[in-house]
Amino acid sequence: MKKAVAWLLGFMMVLSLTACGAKETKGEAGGQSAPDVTDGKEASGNEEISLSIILITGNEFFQGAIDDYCDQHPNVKVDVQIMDTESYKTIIKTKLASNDAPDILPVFSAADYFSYYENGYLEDLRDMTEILDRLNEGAISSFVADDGGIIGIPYLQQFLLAYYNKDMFAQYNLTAPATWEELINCCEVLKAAGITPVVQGHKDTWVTQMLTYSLNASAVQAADPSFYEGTADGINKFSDNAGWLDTLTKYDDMIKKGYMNEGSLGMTSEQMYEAFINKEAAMTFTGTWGDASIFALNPDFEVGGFPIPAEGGSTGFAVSITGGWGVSADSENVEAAKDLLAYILSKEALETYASSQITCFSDIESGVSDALAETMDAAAGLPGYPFDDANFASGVQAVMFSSIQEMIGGDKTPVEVLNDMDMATEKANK
Amino acid sequence: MRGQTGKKRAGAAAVLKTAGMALLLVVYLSPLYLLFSIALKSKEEFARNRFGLPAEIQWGNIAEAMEKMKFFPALCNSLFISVVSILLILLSASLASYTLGRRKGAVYSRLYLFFLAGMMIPFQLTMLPLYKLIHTLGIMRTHWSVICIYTAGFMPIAIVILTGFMKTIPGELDEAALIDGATPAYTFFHIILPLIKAPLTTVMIFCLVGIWNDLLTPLLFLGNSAQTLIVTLYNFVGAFYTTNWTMVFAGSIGAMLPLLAVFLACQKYFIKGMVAGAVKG
Amino acid sequence: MIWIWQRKRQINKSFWRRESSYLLFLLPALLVYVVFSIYPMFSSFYYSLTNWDGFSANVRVIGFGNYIYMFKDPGFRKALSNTFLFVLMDVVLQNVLGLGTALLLETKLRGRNIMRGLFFVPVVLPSIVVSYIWTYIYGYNKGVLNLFLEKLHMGPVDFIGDSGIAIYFVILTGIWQWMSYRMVIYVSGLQSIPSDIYEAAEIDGARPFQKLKNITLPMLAPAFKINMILCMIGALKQFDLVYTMTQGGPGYATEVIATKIFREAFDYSDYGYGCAIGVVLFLMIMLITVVTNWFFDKREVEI
Repeated sequence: MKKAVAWLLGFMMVLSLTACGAKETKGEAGGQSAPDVTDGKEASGNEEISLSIILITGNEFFQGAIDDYCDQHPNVKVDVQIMDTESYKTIIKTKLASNDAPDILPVFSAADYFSYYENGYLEDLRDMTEILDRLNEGAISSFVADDGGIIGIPYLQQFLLAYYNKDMFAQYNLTAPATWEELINCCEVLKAAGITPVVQGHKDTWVTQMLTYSLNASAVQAADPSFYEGTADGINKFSDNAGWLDTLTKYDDMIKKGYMNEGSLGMTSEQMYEAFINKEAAMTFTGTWGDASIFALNPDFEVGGFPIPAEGGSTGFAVSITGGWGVSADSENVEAAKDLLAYILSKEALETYASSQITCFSDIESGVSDALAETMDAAAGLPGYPFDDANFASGVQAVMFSSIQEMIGGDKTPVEVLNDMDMATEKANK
Repeated sequence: MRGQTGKKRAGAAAVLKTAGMALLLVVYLSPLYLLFSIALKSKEEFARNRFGLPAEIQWGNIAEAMEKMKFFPALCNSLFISVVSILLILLSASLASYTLGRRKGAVYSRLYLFFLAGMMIPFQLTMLPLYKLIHTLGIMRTHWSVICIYTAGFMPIAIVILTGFMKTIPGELDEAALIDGATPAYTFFHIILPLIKAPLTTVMIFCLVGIWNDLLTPLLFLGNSAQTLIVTLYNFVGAFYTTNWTMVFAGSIGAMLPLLAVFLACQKYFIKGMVAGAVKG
Repeated sequence: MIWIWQRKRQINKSFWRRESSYLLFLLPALLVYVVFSIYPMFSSFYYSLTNWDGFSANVRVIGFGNYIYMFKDPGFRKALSNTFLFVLMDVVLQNVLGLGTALLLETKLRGRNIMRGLFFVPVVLPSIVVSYIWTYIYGYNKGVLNLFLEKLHMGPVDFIGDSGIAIYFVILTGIWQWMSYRMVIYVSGLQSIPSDIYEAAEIDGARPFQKLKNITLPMLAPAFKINMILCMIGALKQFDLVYTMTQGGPGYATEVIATKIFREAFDYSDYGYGCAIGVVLFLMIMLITVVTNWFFDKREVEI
């Protein structure tokens, strides 16, 4: 028996060393960075260039553009890594801290990313004027650092909405609500008929933002536009803001009245879309990225959309341009990276691959789904406000997620959630 | 004929016990039945029939999952990392425990405790400084980063096991060799080493399970193109749009099969190894 | 480390000359260990005294501020209580089940070795696979357990989504996975008890229960000790399973110390505080190991 084990190991060794010898040339290409490479390598040229990029799930459509670029520039190899937003936000810190960040990386307009820029981890992209000039007015504003540098280039315009099942609504003579009261009424009718009004997948922490930020657009941002100027350093406290309290109370109310699905804390966002498609609920609160998930499951689903309304009608609309592309300052191929970035954000690339998305570029026609169009119509004329977390101190959003989860589970009151957020702000600023 | 009925009763009792234990085993391993039955169903069948055996065994699921998650490169990476780490651990730990277990001196017992303390260090404590260190050494995103970490990480348990065993080898062997003019190195390689094959196997198996199944270290330190099997599975599952359990489980089977196969083949050694590892500590 | 150097100066020089080759043998292991385990640990000790966020260039020393904050942090207390719950349930259930199975396996049984091997399979599975299987079993909507409950006309239970009970079910999954590790150690312990003792006892008319109480259990003390220590250290360090099943959620319901460290370091960019918690964890593990060791050494039966 001992011999057998020895043989097995010996065999595995030989196998691994030979097989890996062959695989390494293919697989390792994107992983190793060449040492002591002078900056300024152009993508055109004959030297082999390796670039790395991380795609957030939901943005896989960029893969097509990347592949085209590699076809056009055979000397460039791009290592693409796909991960979900939360994993990315966690891992990127370690990667940046040890100068191991990918050449092109997702950049969000949140406190952490401005920190990264100030610490020299992100390239200032203000010289990419060709791309920047095509952006919609004001789109870049959330990516401008204090010194005027541009930390990332946004590409998608996203907003929050409630998707609703048109058939189910018609069945009960309901129409898309324009006020909070109407929304509650819809929920009441549906609940009385034995249907779950809203399905949410609260196990995925980001889902807790959907209702919150939608209502805050009216309750907090439209009501008091100066509030968020003082939240990052703790001057304005969340617990002092009537709008925040109102929003969370409404959230809590919906849970307590049974308008959201039971067991939401154990349901992931994917399961949420599935349940919605399977007609287990009439509505779900999410964002424009919901289109991709819903239509992947059922391309012919009859779905409509509306912005989640505030009491007496919305006064603000949660629109955000929080996601962008940045370039790592420690990249060995900064010029090449910028070149690739310019390509994947070019008019041709976006028109080919992002045709069903709403981009921030003025020269691209967006072919949106009915649900999104309906929502935009309903929100026409409303001032757009970015998602609230752009104004949070570092780490506060994570605390908000967990505390709202606790509120949903009945273990915390809205006031306590706001106190947690204040404490987290204090801790971040200590 | 009292003896005979006694034997019969003993025989019947044994059969009953076996049946009882077998039942217990089946209940205990029933989650694994789920794993396999779901992995081998088609998505449609899974929606209809959640618990029964698959009507048509879809071996293709496993192949599909393996292809989508780039199985073979990942397998090679896991193999390479495991084999090299284990060789390094065995060599350095046996050398060290030769000294620690057979030489007299207060220094040695202190050093032994020094190594022992390593077993209590939680990985989170060393994670980030290791990151900076690995980067400074320039081995980030190569196999060597995790190999070094594993070698250091498993050193305590390896030394504990081997030192314990070294102490049981009669000291006269060394002395005889030295009188004959052998150097310590010669003594080690030609006399002692052949004698410690058993605990070496033990350490090897212990490390194999730990290294092969590890998630966090390769996740943090290996680049995307050189990932191990377990991390590949983790990314594969995480990148899903919808919860496709058939794929999740098919992929899981792919990822766990290599080690499971080795385990089932060398079962006795695994168990002996884990025991010895624990008992000598 | 300081006391090692002081002692070395006292030892006379001929020791060094005599032992030079042997000391050289220690070098590879020592080198790797010090560079990749000890140095990072000391680094973390240092960072625990700062408020470093994990990536900024500037690092500001704040003394013991992190440790003081730990006392006030309700999140830490929750993680601590969950971790202790882990330790308690693991120690009791893993050992009871492990010992029970071991006792059953060590009787006249056909196919005993095969069964023992099969029982051991969960230990060899990767933690993420275990968590995927059990997440499926615990599912609220269409999970296995809930389907059974439905057949019994009992309402569905959100096993890992209900903040009141989630932690228990995560712990149970861990027990399922690691119980056999305890079992094989007990088996080995049982096998090392010489059978003549049992025979002598039978001659004296001892009944099975008396045999168990007066012979088996006392002579299993070494196995108990090892199992206790390994079980506790494992429970204290627990990370993989919790992280992949619930990430410490919902809210903080299943947070354990290891996930708390991860959360502080990465989600809250408070790496210094994360290190402080890590240091405390290390000290706890050391303390518990030493105490358990001492406790069992007092009770070991001399043959």
